[in-house]
Parts: sequence; structure tokens; C-alpha cells
Amino acid sequence: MNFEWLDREKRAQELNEELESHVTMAAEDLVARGASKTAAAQAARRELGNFSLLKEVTQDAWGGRWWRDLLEDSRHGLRILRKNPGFTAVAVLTLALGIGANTAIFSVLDSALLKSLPVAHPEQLVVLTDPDAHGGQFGSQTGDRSLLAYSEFEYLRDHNDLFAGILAADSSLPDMEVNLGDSSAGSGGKKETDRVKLVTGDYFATLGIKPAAGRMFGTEVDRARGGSPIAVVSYVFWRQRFGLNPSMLGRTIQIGRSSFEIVGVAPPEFFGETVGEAPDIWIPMMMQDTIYPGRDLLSPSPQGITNQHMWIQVMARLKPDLPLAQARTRINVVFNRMLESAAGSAMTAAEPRNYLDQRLNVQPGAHGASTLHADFGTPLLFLMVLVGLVLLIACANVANLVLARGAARQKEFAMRIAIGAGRVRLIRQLLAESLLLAFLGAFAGVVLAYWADTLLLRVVSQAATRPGAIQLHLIPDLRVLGFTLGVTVLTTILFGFIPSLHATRPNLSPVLKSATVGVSGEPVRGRLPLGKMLVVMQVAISLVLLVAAGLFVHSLSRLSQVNLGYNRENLLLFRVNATAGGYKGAAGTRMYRQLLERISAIPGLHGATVSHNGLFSHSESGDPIAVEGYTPKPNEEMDAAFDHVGPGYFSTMGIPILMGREIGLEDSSAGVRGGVINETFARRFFPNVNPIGKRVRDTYPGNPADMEVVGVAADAKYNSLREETPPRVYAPLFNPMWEQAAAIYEVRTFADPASVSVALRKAVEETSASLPAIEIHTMAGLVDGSLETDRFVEKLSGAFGVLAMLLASIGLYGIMSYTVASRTRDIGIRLALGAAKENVLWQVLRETLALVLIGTAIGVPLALGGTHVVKSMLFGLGFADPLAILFAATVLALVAAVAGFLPAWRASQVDPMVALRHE
Amino acid sequence: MAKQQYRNRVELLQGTLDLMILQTLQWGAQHGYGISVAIRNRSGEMLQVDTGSLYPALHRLEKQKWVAAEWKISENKQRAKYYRLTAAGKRQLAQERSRWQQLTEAIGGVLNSAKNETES
Repeated sequence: MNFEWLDREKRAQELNEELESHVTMAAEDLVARGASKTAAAQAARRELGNFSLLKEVTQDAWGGRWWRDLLEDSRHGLRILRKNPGFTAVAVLTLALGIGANTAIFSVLDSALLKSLPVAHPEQLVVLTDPDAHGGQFGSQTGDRSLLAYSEFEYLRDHNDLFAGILAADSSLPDMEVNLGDSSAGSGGKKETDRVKLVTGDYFATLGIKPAAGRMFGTEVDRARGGSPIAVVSYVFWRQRFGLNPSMLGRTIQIGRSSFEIVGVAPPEFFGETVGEAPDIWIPMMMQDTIYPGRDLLSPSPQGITNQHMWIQVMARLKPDLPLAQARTRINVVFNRMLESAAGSAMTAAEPRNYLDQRLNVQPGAHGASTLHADFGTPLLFLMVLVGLVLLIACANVANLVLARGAARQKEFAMRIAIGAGRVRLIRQLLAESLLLAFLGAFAGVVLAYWADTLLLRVVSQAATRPGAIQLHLIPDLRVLGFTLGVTVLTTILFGFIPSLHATRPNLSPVLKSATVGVSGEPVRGRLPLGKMLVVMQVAISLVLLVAAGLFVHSLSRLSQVNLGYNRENLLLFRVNATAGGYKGAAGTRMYRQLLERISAIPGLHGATVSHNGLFSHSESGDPIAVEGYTPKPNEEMDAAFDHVGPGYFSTMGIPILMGREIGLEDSSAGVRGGVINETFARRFFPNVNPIGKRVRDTYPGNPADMEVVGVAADAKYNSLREETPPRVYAPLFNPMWEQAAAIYEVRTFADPASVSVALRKAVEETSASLPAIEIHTMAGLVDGSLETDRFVEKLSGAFGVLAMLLASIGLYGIMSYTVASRTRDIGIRLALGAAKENVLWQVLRETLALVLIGTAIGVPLALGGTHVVKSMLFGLGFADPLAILFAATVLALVAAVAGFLPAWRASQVDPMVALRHE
Repeated sequence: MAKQQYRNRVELLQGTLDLMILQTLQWGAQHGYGISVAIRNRSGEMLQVDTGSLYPALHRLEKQKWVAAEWKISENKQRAKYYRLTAAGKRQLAQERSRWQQLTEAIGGVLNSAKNETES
């Protein structure tokens, strides 16, 4: 006998027949004993008892009942859902919004923060540098090292027995001009801009990356500088540029000014060691001249150990079974030995103390390196909480729908319980319906999430100040699907379980007796409190979400009102890289000056100037200082930010000069260096003294420099609207304290910036043909760009707030309509007895507002607590933002009034005669 | 509610009912109705087997492979499902019988000693 549940149909048929034969035989026996045929048949059937129940109980003996019930419940559920398309559509849509939004945010969170690098055994990887640090840094560091110099990497690589492999990679991902055409054919090929990553030979082997085609390069490329013009390209690059054609292996492409042979293709899932980046091409680090022409980043700095160029991320694969803590201790022993030997030869006795206080903070590297952790970690977690709250509201809405339908179906349930259905069985069936709803919702939600993610990614990558810098791979993996599944089951429990308990209360007789069950029947009253509780909860949570949205809107508006200290309008900025153009030392300064003269000659300009760090360009300098006439307090950090500026900088930017004069052309000659300090500097170091004429010394070891204060300028924001202005010193760019590898020109325009841009490019080309092409930014754009994360959070929290409010008002509308409908008769009687329509309307409205009020009362303390938690993300707001709370409460009350008005108005329009005849 | 009561009765009779069914089938294959009649007759009309217990029991025994079933034509020229004892069923019957024997002896012993006490 086969006990598979599949042939149940047939076996049920047989059971039927078996029982029928029993009845027939029993009846025949009775006839044989003298009973009449009809009486015998009746008696035999009576003796058999409840036929269907007997069948059910017998079928239980077959086992596998769970499966059968599930199948049956699902089939039944589908039928019910099909029969109520309106209910199904609203519930599925609501759940899809909730689940979809959660999946979307989670998948971004997952790929930005949680996912391991797609490499072999990511748990063995460690980072020796700070995974959040990117870019480059000159000088020296104390404490935990964020980046390393190449010479330091070499030392670590050659002096340890801890790692199975160790790799270095450029911590930034420069855009390079790439020519895919055959380089021998000259410039005839197709030019494009691609992201190129410099990596050491051990890179692919240490990460455990196998090529999708061709081969990866190995340690042989680390031997000779400039000796390995070969490249590995990404899978996407291979597909988009070469259509996955294997014949492109061995082909030569031109990167910058050098030719490279493509030797291999990385596997499709591999995006490098940094989450959020997606290099198109990897080339050996020994080829750094291609990427950074005119600069030597590989040799130890000729200016000594305190002026190194730190620019690489270092990761390593631990030898198996080596604990992380041990590796950390042992590699620091090696690192310290290196520092000591360097310090011993190059430093005076006083200096090494700080210098030797450097450590490698070895951390788990499974998640790779990324700026995303620091920039988006908190915002994403915060958004995840918000979107979770939205889901809660969505669940409450569906729960209310299910409750309402449960009330309408009470007669069905009562009947089924009366004829012997178990309550557990009924609850199971209702849960199956809910689960079906949830899965339909989840399915629609995943589709929605996919669409939302593309949108989200666009916002996230816009938030990156480097164009196209953030590239996340949002492939829905098992974790995301698991998350969605978990959320789906959770929602089912939330919106399905409690209502199903409620609907199946074994309280039969009133339901069965009542002729009009459902909308106006008696049992409806009993369910209202639960429904109303849900609505109150929705209002409370919506309030929290709206307050959150209000907070971010408010914070952003505060941020955009921040005084920059200069005029951001009609200001163009572009960077000129003298070193890349082949200039060194004084030649660079001369070139900067010629270019400034050429630009100043362009008609239609308000002014033009040049500075080293520019503004909102992610560049900053700082050094230790000594100030004439100022005695440092014990342990006081004597540090100042530095910049080099050209003539007319302050007048062109619109930074007011408070005392003395600005830096002009007269500061271009060598000799006593005239410098300008900012207000903060003056307040701190010259509290009661006239600073003009005082000396300030840059005490940086190995490169000290002096200047005389000639003026005091007002404070200005340099890289962020949030920054606390540090004490700052402005030195003349044309009489610099140290060599300026690059400079940023600031141009104030009257005219159309587009035509000015053409003239600017021409001026650069005319000054020197060897300079790389320039990229022109507007100041307003750069400032805006620095707020993208804030805007991203503001937009999304706003969207979630509105969504939450909409859902809550739908819930409110639903519950009030329901209340009115169930009271049609009462209202009819009252109207018939002469109650004024306004009174009826007001009464219903009042009830709505009471719900909103209770919800608000619960929501406000929650919102206050929430404000405290997100305080670090806000700007210029105290522990509570009354404006945001007032705004949220007002909006909620208004929307609730609208949602409640319709049912209230309907109530006031009840025709007494119709209402009374209703039953 | 009604169903709950049904269940209770089934459980109460389960062990003994199984034993009686297996015993009945020792004399040859029989259909459900035949089994219920046989038990009624052999018990001197004392035991009325409830169909609500009989059929679940038969199907359970069938699942445990103590009985096997096949469709045959009865003496009244009717198609009926006949159950017969399997080898495993025979072993099970022997076991259950001896357990039953022990149980009745034990209970008998208790009852008899009680009787002796009241007499003395």
C-alpha cells in the first residue's frame, strides 16, 4: 500500500465505498430480521453516525494529515482571496510596500555593510590599515595608522612569517583616459574614461581570485619599476567592451600615456578589495608612473621618514590557525623595529617619541575596505529602523482588514465550529490565508524592491562626491531572500495570528441567532477595541516617522543656511596638477602664476585666484606650530590648518579681511613670508594682542617654515558645513612653504559659466600642452555634493514618513467607516428623534480625533527618545525639536481629519427610514 | 465539542479493540461490518463496536501492516473490503494476547484477594 499523500483522492473514494458497503450490509441484516426497507436503511445510516466526521477521523489514521491540511488550507485560502479581489488587492499592495521597502533597504545595507568579499575564505583576511581611510596623505602620523607608504609595505612583506599572503592596493581609484584601439594605430582608437587600480603582485593570489579568462599577474610584476605593462580587466569591462570575446587577451590598450597588454579577466562577482568600488582595470603597482606621472610613490621619500606619502591599503591572509590577536602583536613588533631603525638614522633625540607611537591596528578583513561603513553605516541602520516601523504600520492595516473580514465571516466560523471543526484547525486555516497574502505581498515586494534598489543606488552613487564612485553589487543573495522570508513570516504572525484568535472565539449562539451578522451585527462591538488599538498604534508610529522626517528636513535647512564665510554663487573651481604635467619646484610655481595671468585676462570674469586646497575638494593640510608671544598650556595641541593662496584670494572668494591686508602679488617674492590667519586663530593665540607683525612658525620636523602675520580673515568652511573651524594659516602660494604638486583655481564669473569654461580650458592648454585636461566644478555644486548623504536620508525618511501617514490614515478611514456602518441603526434612530446632522458628524469626527490624540500622546515620548538616538546625524537641533513635533502632529491631525470626515459625513447623511428598515 | 467526545471514546477502547479485531481475523478474512457483527455475537451482544472506532482502528492496523486489505465480492454478491491477518499481525496478536492474559490475571488477583478479605 502506498501511503503517499498524492493518492489520497483515490483512497478517500475507496473509504467512501467501504463505508457505503457497511451501511448496505447492516441494512440488509436489519431487513432480514424483519424491518422495513426504508426503516432499515435509516437505522443503518444512523448507527454509522456522522459520516463525514467518521471519514475524517479514519483518514487521520493514514498519517500525513499535516500536509493534506496545508494543501487544503492553501487551496481554500486561494479561493477565498480570489472571491474577495478588493480585500486581496489592498492587503497585498500594503504588504508589498512594507516588505518591498524593507527588502530594498536591507539589500543596500547588506551589500554595503554585511556582505563578505567574494573571495575564498574571507574570514582569514585582515586589514592592516584603516578600512575607512582612502586617498593619500603626506607627512607622518601617530597612533593607529590609517594608510601605509609603499616602502613600509615592502618591509612588512619581507619581514614576517604570519601571513600566507600580503597585498597592497592604491587606496583611491583614479579615473584614467583609456584608449581601447590598437596603440600602434596612433590616436585613432576609441577613447574613454575608466577606473584603474594599482595593486601589488600578490593581490590576486592573496585574495584567492581565479581568472575568468587568461591569467592573473603574480609577484613577478613587483620586481622592476615600470617593467610589467600588463593589465587584468573586470568581467563587466570584458563584456561591455569586448562582448566576452576571448581573443581580446593579448590585446594592447593605452592607459594615460602607456600601453598595456590585457592578460586576464577577473571573475564576474569580483569587485576588488573595497566595497563600493568597481575598478575596470587592475595594473601592477610598479606601473604607478602611468597613473601618477611625475611622482615617485614607491621609493622612500627623499625628505625623510616624517614626510612620507601614505597612500596604500594593506590586507593580508593569516596563516591558518593563527589567532588575530597574536598576529596583531607580532606584526607590530616588526613594524616597531622598522620605525626604530628609521628613526635612529634620521631623527634628533627629541623627535622620536611621537614618531614611535604608531601602530598597525590589524582588524578582520572579511568585509574588505570601504568608505561606505563610515559614510553610510549609521544612516542605513537608521533607515532600516524607519522602514521596519513602516512595515509595522502596514501590518496593522492588514490586521485591521483581516479583523473586519473576520467579523464579516463570523457566521461562517460559528457554523463550522458548531458542526465540529476544531478551533485550532480554523486558526490554521486563517493563518494559511494570511500566509498566502504575505507571500503574495512578499513576491510583489521583491519586485518593488528590485526597482527601488536601482533608484536607491542612483541616489547613493550621486551622494558620492567622486562621480560614479560608489558601485554596489545588489545581487539578491541568500541572506536577502532569507531576510525577506523572515519578514514575511513575521508579518503573517503580526497581522494574521491575533485577528484569527479573535475571529474564532467560541462564542457561537449570538452569532448564529443574529440574522444580520457582520457589518451591523452584535459581535462587531467586541472587536472594535482591538481595531482601534491598532489604529492608535499606527498613529503613534506615524508620528515618530513624521517627526524623524521633520527633523531631517529641519536639519538640512539649517545646514543649507550655514554661513560658508564666502559667496558660493557664480564660482567655478578646477584643479591643475603641475606634477602630472612634468613641472617640478619653482617651475611649477611659475606655471601657476602664468596660468593665473592668462585666466585673469579672460573677459567677463569678476575675478580669479588660486589656492592649494581649494574648497570642498577633500583636501586639507595641517601642521604643528609655534606662535610668537604665546606660551602653550601643558599638553596643549599646537596645531593649525594650512593653505596656500594666490593674490586676491580673499577678495575673489568674498572672505572679509578683518585686520591688516590680504595676500597680494607683493607676497610672491622670496624673503619674509607674509601670512594671513583666520579669526579662530587670532582669538586663540592672540587673545589680547594685535597679531599683525607677529611670527608664526610651522614646526613640522624636517620642513620648518616661518611667516609674519599680515592680516586676519573671517572664518570660512573648508570641507564640510558641519566642521568646527580650526585655527588656520594662509601662506602665499607664490612663495610657498613647500612644493605644491597641484593647485585649485577659483574663478568668479558674471557671464554664462559654459562659455567661461571653454575659455578656461583654452587658457590651460595654452599655458602648457603637457597638463592633463581639467574638470570644472561649481562651488554651489560642491557644497551641495557634501550634503548628499543628508539629502539621501532626508528624502527617504520623508518618503517613509508620508508612506506611514498614508497607511495610518487608510487604517483610520477604514476603522471609522466600519464604526459608522455598524452604527447605522443607532444613528438612524438619533436622527429620527431629531438629532442635528452637525452633531452626528461632530460626534464621529470627535471619535477619530480622540484616536489621533491618544496616538500622538504615545508617539511624542517615543519621538523624543528617537531624536536622542539620531542626534549625531542632525545639525543645529537640540535634544527635542518642537518644530518637527508640532509639524508632525499638525500634519497627522489634518490628514486624520480628512480621513475621518468622509465616514462622519456619511453618518450625518443617514436616512432614518432606510436605517431603521435596514434589519 | 462533539468531535472531542468521539476521540475520547476511541482512545479508551483502542488497545482492546485492536486485540479483538486481530483475534476475529484469525478465523479468516473479513470485512468491517463482518468484524463488528462477529465481535457483537461472540461477546454475547455485550460489546457493540462503534463504527466511528472500528474503521479508524482498521486503517491504523493496515498502516502498521498487521492486517492487509483487498476488495472481494461478499456472500451477498456485494463488493466489500476484506481484511486479513499478516504474519506481523499474527505475532502482534500473540503478544497482545499474552499481555491481556497477564493484565486480567493481575486484575483478577487483586479482585480475588479483595473478595477473600471481605469474606473473612
